[in-house]
Amino acid sequence: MTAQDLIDRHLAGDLDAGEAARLAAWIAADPANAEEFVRACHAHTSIADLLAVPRPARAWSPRPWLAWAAAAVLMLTVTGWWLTSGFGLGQHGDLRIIAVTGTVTLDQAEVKVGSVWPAGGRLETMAGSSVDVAGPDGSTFAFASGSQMLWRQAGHGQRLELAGGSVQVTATTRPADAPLTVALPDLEARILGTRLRLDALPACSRVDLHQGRIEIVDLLGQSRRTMAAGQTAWAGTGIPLLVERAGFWSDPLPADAIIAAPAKASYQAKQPLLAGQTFRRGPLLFDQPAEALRFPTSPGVAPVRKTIITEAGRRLLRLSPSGPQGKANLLLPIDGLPAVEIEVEVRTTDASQLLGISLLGSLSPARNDALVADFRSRCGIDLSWLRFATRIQPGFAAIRFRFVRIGAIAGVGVWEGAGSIGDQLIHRDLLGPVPGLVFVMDQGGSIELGRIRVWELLESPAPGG
Amino acid sequence: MPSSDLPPPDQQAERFARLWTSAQGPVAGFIRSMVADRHLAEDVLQDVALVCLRRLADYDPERSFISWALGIAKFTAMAAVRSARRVSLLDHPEAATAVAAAWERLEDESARRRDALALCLGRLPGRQRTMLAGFYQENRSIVDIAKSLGLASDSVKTMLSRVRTALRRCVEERLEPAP
Repeated sequence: MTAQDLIDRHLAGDLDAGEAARLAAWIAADPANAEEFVRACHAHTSIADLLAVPRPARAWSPRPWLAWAAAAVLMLTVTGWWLTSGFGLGQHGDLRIIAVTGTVTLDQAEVKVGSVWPAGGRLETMAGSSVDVAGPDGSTFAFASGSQMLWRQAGHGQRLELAGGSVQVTATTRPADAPLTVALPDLEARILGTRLRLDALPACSRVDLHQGRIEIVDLLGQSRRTMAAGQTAWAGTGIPLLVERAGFWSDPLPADAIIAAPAKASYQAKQPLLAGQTFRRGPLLFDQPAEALRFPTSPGVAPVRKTIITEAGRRLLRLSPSGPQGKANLLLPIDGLPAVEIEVEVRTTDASQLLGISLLGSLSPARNDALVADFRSRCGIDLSWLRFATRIQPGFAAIRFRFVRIGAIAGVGVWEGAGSIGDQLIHRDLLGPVPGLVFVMDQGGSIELGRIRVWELLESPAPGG
Repeated sequence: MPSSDLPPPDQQAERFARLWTSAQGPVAGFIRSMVADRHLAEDVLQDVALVCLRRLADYDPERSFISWALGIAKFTAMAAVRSARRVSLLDHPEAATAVAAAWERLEDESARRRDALALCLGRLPGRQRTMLAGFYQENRSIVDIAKSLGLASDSVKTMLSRVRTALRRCVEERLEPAP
């Protein structure tokens, strides 16, 4: 439970003695904590006071984003374009636990494989845990760490309510009067037969459609959007409805991108880049499609390690032994390669668990954390999709990060950190050759790798040379 | 101060009113942040005002009145909470002292913060505002609000948490100095 959770419980009058002691210790530990607590309390009491005061008739004027905010409460209705004939459904019957990792509880009692999840039961996955559930009709649900889910019969169909966390659903086809409904705080999906993933994120709800087609209708009936396989829909508090392609960058840089060294780039005068030295994209060395690297929803690090070793394909892709402080490194060795361009798609269902991305040995943890914090501050808490491209030359790191955020937040457009920022990211501790790319992740976190592509970079002749 | 040196009662009342006006905000804020029960918090605030008035002669004008009043508030609130046998942060004196000090430090920004919050609240969509009003203004339980909105209790908790986060962010953005 975070400090913010404890504050929320305190404000709701729900603290028990142990929680009060923990919150008190946190407050007393740092004056900044006490100020954060005071600000939260001030907001809490002010809300009650302000709501009690009638607002003047012209206290505010409608803004365009309010219309979007109103549309943030949505209903997704799946229509049957994709549906095939024949459905072996069982509208009634309990769900069954088919796989458990870590600690999963049903109505606060721990469950095991084979346990029955009766209607009305509340299933919860603890941090670092996951559970797979099967319905009587063969539909499957993979719940990520930190999920809270309730299910009940709804007419001939079934209704699952996901208050937090993430679930990946593979639903068998069903008749229109017996849908499987999955309700998120901001979205509701009526599923007649498709494959999709639903996330109740801290700030918004998201649906990734892997198979089939669905139609999105806002509750006011003001607009309809068709969502196709491979697309993602987002909505939430202050986040307008957005439907866009969920796949990897179609082309993050022009194919003939020329990467020029900044005029003053150098690394402690040991590995200077020549001003104007340029590289262009060469042969594609490695191309691991996203589907081949798709993991079960939110695995822990250990399953990821196994999957990568098993499925890495032509190029060795390995996970290093756990590092200090519970971190794990995913290495994509480039030893002996010339300068390369690497594109990786990383997805995490809990943004706070993604601690950083860096070149091995080249980026100090503090700088890396600052980089991620900067990203977080610019883009709110929507860090669940993170894309970047990195170029590496052995012995020298000229890093070009590129982040693209999916899902608009009111007032914040798509933000790209593109451009040569190597000057800022060159680190004093880079003494030897750079052996690979490292992803620093909390072991309890959940990640999902998308497509990985590696190009060789070829040095271009000097201008006029 | 000997009683013969005390100012006349009307002057004393005026002095107290002036001092209390400056301190009431942080003192009330401190009490409400430490005592979750709103009715109990209001009782404590009244008690603190009375104690401050009665002990005004002990107040050293060289010191901050807010600090002095917060000290009284801390002990008055502790006694009230113990008497009511409630779990409270006031059982942890170091935390209570840190919170009182923070209220005093943040006094200057509290009015601006409240103004910003008012603007941010005005921008909330109707459903979220209804939820907030039910919880904060009408003291309805989450279960009750969930029933009226046709939602699960956990969903209401999640949405309340999101609205609070969105409001916090909105307030911080409004308080940031313009570039």
